[in-house]
Amino acid sequence: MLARAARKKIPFFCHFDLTYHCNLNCVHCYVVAESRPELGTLEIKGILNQLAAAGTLYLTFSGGEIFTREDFFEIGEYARRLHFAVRLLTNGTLVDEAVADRVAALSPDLVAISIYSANSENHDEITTVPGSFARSIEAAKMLTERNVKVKIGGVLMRQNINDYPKVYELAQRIGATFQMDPRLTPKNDGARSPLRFQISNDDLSRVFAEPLFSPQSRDNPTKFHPDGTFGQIPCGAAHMSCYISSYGDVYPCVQFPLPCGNLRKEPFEEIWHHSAEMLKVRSITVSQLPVCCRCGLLPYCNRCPGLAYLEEGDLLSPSTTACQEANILSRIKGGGGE
Amino acid sequence: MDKYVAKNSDQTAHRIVDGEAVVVNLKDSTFQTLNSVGTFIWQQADGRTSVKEIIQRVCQEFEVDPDTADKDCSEFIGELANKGLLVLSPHPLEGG
Repeated sequence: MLARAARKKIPFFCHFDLTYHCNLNCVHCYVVAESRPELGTLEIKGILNQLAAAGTLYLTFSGGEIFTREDFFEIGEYARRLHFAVRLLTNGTLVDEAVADRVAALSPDLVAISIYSANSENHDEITTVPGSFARSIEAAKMLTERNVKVKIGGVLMRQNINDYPKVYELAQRIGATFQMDPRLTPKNDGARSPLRFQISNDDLSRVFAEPLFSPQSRDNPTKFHPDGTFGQIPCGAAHMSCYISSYGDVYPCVQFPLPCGNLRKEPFEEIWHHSAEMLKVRSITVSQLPVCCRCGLLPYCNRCPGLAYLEEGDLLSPSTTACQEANILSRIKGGGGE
Repeated sequence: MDKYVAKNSDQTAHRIVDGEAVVVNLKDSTFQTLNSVGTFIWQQADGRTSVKEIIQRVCQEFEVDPDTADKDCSEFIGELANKGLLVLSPHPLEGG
């Protein structure tokens, strides 16, 4: 089905940031809020109608912090009436018993809660809000008690690089799954300030050798598949996945800062099928990547086209981050590296 | 079973993609794709239509003989119910 969605350009997965407002102020956050007004309730419902008609099934709501929107449950319940498989990304700090009940009633496919460390001081230093760890963990517990599928984790950085085993144990104890991403990204406007927290290559090597991290590489069906799972398609962006900002801008992916149109001006189908930028991204094949297609590290590569574009401003260039990671993976798996 | 009504479980998400229903079981996050007959059955399961009526509609839509339809459809509906994708009830169900 995923291969068919990619072939037929069905936007099976959509990541929709409902707001860029957040009650935390994480040191590594990539979100850049603008002065434009965010989408209103009716606008969002209209967009959901369009996504359902276009074939979107998996709908991830994120932000910012989704529960800062007073209309969140009105939106979430509307999405469920449209039969989306809804996933929520949240910091969990605004979840109390009543909110947990309403989240459970949505029957979400998954709720992912950001937990950066099992050490409360470390976590709160990253979020810069004292007490946030306790509230986030409590949210995870309240939701697992209500049989909601919860995933905890976040992104690895210098501040928490040694904490992930204990976050994994914490996940096991509360009945949640675990995922931590070793990749920090620049801000959406290209500012590189979050990268000052990037872990060292030595730490990255250590992490990649960990069995804990290997399953997640297979967890995302839209990632790069150099083995040709989706033919020559570099990844699912613009083929079977897209991203919508809280201002209605449509992008090939949440990681891909190339606006393809705005839903306040054009219908989703028009942008998805006819936007020049979307068509350009969609036209790129692995064999057209002049450096990557000849690279000996291709079997180990997890190139994100969006990150490559963010790093180099070029849709066809290698991604510095992906090259570093492929080198490390190659050495771990005996390929020798380059 | 044929007097029971069938309804898509509210523990599912689904979408018709290219004429085929893709159904996600939200309890375990598995998904499956239904063929054209399965998709038709899925769409008829509105909480008000009995299994017997659904099977009759399958016969009309796909020009299948009643005995074959009865056996195959009953088995299929039973499978979906066992997986928690369909709910079977002796009484009409709301929100189909």
